[in-house]
Amino acid sequence: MRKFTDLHLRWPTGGVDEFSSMLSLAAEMGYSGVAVASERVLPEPLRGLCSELGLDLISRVDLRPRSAGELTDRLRRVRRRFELVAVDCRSKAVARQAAKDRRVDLLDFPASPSARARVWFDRQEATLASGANCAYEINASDLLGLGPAACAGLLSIVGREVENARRRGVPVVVSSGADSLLLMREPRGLAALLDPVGVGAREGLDMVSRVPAGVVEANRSKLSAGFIEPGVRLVEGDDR
Amino acid sequence: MTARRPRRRYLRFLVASERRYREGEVADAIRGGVLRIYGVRGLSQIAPVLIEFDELGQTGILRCSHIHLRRMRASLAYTTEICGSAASLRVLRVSGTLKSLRTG
Repeated sequence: MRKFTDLHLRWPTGGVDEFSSMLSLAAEMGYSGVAVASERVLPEPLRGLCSELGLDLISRVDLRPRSAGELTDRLRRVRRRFELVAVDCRSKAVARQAAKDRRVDLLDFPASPSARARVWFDRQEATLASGANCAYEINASDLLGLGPAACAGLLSIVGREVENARRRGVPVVVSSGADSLLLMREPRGLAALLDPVGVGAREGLDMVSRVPAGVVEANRSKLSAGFIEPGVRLVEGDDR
Repeated sequence: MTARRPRRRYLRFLVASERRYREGEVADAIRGGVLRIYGVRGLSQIAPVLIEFDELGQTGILRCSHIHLRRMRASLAYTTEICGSAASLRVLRVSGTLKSLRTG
């Protein structure tokens, strides 16, 4: 049976109460793990609620650097504090640096179609990301918040981005990006959102289950005590 | 030779919103959602029909073509407002028969 993970919940304007409702709804919808984008450590009652609901709580930070230098500086400070590091690519220079940096897990691009036409997941970006094991993230909230014409424009770009990711073997993750209850979608609904751009049923379901789980698992192993570098870890043996 | 009746899928769904909607408003929103994403051709293929809607609980049962179930899910997921107010349509359960959906 598939285990679904939503890698992007945003802190709501309604505060702790609304966030508790979002966590309960996520569990009710069938998610087994959620990542919360917040630089602060979540309050203890919310952590307790997650374990009560059987939700795996994943820590995540969203970086919005203005330059490549600022990105590397911030990565140095946050990488070991969070299980997931996502970069909101607002300029080409930041996008290129993020795609080739192994410390970055998820690449996000602007929601507005006009901004996305300038900075998007193009072929060069996909080539760099495939070498650095970065995943490309699609936020459902970007698609849901737009009018019909803008949504069509964004879907057209997303379709090309998914194609670039497929060709270079870059993992694609679909997340809700929700900051309210009304923006949350059930896992199969989230997977179906990319049907208009030609993403098949199985591939879509993988984007909300197998792929995000793989990203989290890889990062947890990197953050574990025995990790030295990819492919090398310290194994405790018997003292001889 | 008689044509075989197309297979169907039944979806139990919930309307989440701050206000309550009438059956006609929800039916229009569902058709409008399919039309917006898949156009007239998609609407004819998916063939969504609102079977029943409980205005008190804001839950309903919807029928669509079984081949296009995923498109129906996508159309519901893309719905963000009904009659100008923010809302979302959540699929609770899918079944091949109405009976099992009503009893289950």
